[in-house]
Amino acid sequence: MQKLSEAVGTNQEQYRRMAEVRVPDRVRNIVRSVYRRVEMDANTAWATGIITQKNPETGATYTATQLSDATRYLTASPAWSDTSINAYETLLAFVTAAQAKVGRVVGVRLKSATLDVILADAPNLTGDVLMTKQQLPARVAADLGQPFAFSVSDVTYEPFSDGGTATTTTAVWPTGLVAAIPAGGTVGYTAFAPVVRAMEMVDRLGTGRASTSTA
Amino acid sequence: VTVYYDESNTGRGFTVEAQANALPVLDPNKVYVTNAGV
Repeated sequence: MQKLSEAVGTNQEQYRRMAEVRVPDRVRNIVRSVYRRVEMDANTAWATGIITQKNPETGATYTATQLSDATRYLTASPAWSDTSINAYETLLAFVTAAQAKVGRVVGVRLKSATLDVILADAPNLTGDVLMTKQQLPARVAADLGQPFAFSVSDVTYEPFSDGGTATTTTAVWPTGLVAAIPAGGTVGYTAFAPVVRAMEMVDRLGTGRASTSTA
Repeated sequence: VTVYYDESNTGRGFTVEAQANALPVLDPNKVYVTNAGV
């Protein structure tokens, strides 16, 4: 039996839950979007050495180059998909070259399209059976003589295109780039500056406090 | 992430802002990237 105190409209209630229309849910989503932006900036900084800042009011952008080193940001020529290139052998050579620069490499970060090209050029198994994506890391590890893993990222993000509400679907990891993952798995850190509002700054002045004290 | 809220119009308006001043900083000795072109 239903009581008057129960919330009416179960479907409506379920919909509200799924749509996350309540304030706490929406706040959680806003916070998640901030973290997604940090994730994207960290990946972009790693992949390209560049961070792009955007003015949310006007859409004007400012691009800051953090690391510009031609010996660490290379461009393959021809591309790994070129028929004259064996992408699998090229990957092995890339990892070997990377270890001279960053120390021990435990894997590479790339998109699945790049991984597919590597897999297509990977050596066949006994009896000319094609290698699977699951077997590929083990084979690379065996050829390198050390543990190895692929970190595949195809996830996308919806950053604002301009000062309005329009967004553009953008891959968190840029297309075509292959990055060596050093032992330990970190290529830097994220610095956080404190977030303050004017009233807090006034509050910290001590005298002439903005907030009243009961003490 | 710092979350601020702002009420207005005697509670009829409610604005929530989340802000993080984050800057990813690379370790130049740990970066090695190639553009495979695919």
